[in-house]
Amino acid sequence: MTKKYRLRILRNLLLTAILLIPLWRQNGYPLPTLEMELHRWERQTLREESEIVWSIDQTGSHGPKMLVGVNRDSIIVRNRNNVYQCWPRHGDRATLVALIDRIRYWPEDGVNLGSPALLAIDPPRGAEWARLKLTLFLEDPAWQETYEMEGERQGEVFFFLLRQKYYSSSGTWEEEAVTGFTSAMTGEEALNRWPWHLEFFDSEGNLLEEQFSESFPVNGD
Amino acid sequence: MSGSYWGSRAVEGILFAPDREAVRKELWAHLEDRRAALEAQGLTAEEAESAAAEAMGDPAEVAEALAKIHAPWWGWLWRLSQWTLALVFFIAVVSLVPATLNNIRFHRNMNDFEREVLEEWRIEGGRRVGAYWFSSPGVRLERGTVPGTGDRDQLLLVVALRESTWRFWELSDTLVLDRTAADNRGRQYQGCYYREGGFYCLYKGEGLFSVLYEIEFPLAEREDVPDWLDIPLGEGSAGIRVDLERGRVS
Repeated sequence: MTKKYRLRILRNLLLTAILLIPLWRQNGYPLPTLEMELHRWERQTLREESEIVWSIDQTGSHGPKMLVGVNRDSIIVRNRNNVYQCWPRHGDRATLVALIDRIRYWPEDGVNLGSPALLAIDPPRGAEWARLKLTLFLEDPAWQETYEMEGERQGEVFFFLLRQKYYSSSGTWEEEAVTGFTSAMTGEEALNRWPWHLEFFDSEGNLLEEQFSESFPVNGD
Repeated sequence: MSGSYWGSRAVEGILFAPDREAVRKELWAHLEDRRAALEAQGLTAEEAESAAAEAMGDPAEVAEALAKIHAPWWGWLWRLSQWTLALVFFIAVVSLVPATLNNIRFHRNMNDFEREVLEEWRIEGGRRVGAYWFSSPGVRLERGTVPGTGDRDQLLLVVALRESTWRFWELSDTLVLDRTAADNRGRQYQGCYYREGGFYCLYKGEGLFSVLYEIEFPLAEREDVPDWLDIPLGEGSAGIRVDLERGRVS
């Protein structure tokens, strides 16, 4: 009787697996982890497989889940909604990358904000800390604000979180500028439309590397 | 002791109901055989049943022995596998039938072009690119409707390309992207551009292990048909050559 049941169980499991395949296919063949999905996308688009250098999972607090992978010449950012962004990797200097989704943070009790965040990939050797100045602006009405962010070393990258200054008021120009920034972030060309200045320092405070965006004011412009 | 009482007691240690019933029937059959034999020897029906039950042994001991042989786990696992299969089957029917019907309608509408086939080329061979095997079922020169442009008399070179992999969960419908194709005459064709000087990729459907594309190149005249075409694949520099003159993929 045991053998009879074993055969029947095996048959039922096989039929179940066969029926699950079209269901799995209908949902786009979801894979267990974001990393597996990223590598699958790389194989599908015939890209070189990347190495994951940064990740975040804030799904428990209604926040994003993202991965950043690097290969020889690109940096790929992927979020859990199947959105991919591909940034060129400079190699000879650090690459500043804006993340697809806003990061959740808690500046004070009861306040839960989502803010843009950026990563500096391939920081110079010996870099102990980094600083990023980014100016957000609106053209109509004319409004701008410069944010100075200290980079937090997370593995091989520096993480910069833009902390909003006027969050206690609702419907501010800042929120509009932040929204404009995050919605426009599709790649390096887009990021260069905002003035930014990135610096890396060693443990003694010596400047190791600095970069400016193409729109950064020069000579007091 | 009656036969039915003996039968019930002997199987009470079997916890899985279908097994219990099956064994009870088998024991009852044995009991009946003995009872019939004893009746044939001259005993009354009642005496024969009681003697048959006695001869089968102590029902409590039999129950203990049968309980050891018929562990319930296999039976319960079997029931669980049955319910799981039934549930998955129900979900599959409810989810897949409407989706499949929609797909058929969609593809019928998408592929409803009026075309006349002027010439065909058979293409052999294939090439591995990354995790995929690329081959071509053939190339056709057609004249007819170009979707989305209103042209009804356009000459088109249609290259069928099949992408195959055993990893069916990695089949892609975006493999031929908006890059540039080229031919032996030095002409470049811009992707996602449905006019002369461009090409357009149509996803034609898939089996479990393959996807079929048709890449359409609008041409001005028949003499524009090239000897070979280099078709870009993916995002990097990968590509495939479809050689009409030699009838090969490389």
